[in-house]
Amino acid sequence: MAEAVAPVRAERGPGEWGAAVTVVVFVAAHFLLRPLLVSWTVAPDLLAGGVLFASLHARPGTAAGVGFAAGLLEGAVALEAMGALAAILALAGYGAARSRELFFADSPLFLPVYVFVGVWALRLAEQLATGSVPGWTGWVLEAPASAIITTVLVVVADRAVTPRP
Amino acid sequence: MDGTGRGRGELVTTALLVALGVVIEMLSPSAQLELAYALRSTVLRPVLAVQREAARRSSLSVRLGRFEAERDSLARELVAAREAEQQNAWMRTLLGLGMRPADSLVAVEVEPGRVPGGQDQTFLLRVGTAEGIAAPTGVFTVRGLIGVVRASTAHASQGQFWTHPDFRVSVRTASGQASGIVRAGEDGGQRAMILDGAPYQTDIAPGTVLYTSGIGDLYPPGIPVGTVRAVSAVESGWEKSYRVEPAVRPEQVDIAFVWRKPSRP
Repeated sequence: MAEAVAPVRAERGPGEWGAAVTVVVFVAAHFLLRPLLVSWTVAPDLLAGGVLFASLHARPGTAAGVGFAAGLLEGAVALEAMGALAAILALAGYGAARSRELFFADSPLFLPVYVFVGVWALRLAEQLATGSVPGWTGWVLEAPASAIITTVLVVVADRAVTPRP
Repeated sequence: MDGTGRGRGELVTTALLVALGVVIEMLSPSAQLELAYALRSTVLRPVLAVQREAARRSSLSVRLGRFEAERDSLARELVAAREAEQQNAWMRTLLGLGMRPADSLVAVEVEPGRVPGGQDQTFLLRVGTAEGIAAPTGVFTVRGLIGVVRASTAHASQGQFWTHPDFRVSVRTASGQASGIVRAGEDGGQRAMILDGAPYQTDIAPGTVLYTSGIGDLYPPGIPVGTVRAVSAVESGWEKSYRVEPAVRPEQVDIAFVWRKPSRP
């Protein structure tokens, strides 16, 4: 399965630049809109979205690097768990890119499910790392709702930058 | 490089990054603060400047009203304090006591830190040891205590709001009849304070204001911490706990004072 899909994604030239720009836009938007986003109960997790988007379009090592840098910056802004966030997002970037290589299928449902699960898990991991343990509403309402919004944004961005045959 | 070799290289790179993250996490609070401050002053500087400006513009009228109210209340307190200070100096002279070492306050803007979905638990102050700040020391506004500085570098300090799980402050009532330790807690799903260790025999009436006791030299005495709401738990024959409405919530804070402790002989 991996052999059938990986070459198509690796051959993109302009698409790769588009993907890189999209990752930068996601991360920059996350930090610029941060005061607004953290005050909403349900808001897109643009940082997780950016890391997962990078893992969709880059090699696992590169995705891990993007995750590490994003985690370090997030920790510097949050003033909490800087190293833990960097490690978690690096692992997430690598893991997500590896799982894409292993499982990427033609099913149109794969991408949304992949991003949704990734954002949900990352969101909870980030909160646990910083010691702000969410209540049950955080686990089953706010995190999934945030993951749904992020999934929509990532899928739309992916459609925009991925050349279709 | 073939696919397997490249895959192994990427795995090693990721392992190194994760190890680096663990090392950063294990650094001392001051070293972590140095790193965070360096990132905030370089890569994140434009973003944080935009955020600060946007926040300032959006709350300009509210801030102005609050500053005016604070200025008026401070002016009243200053007049009363001057008189008390003169009387105190006169009494000390009569009793042959030396003058107390002077403490002072440093006014500073509070930059809160928070992860999405998380809570305000930590903050950054752009003053440090060069300005005479020595961690740990109290941080408060005109209305009351907001937290404590936990780590300081030359020009930056990191603190914890009272909402942080590690935060504790020794308090007393104005009469001094009851005392205890205040920590973060919850009241009806909202963040509040809990007073632990209050004496079993003494009832603290709802509405009673709690002040810092000054024990431990961490906070100056007499700073409002919160107002007692109701009893939350009773340890039979031993102690009582109370729910406390905080004097200041983290989201209300923009400018605060850091206590520069007097140097002891």
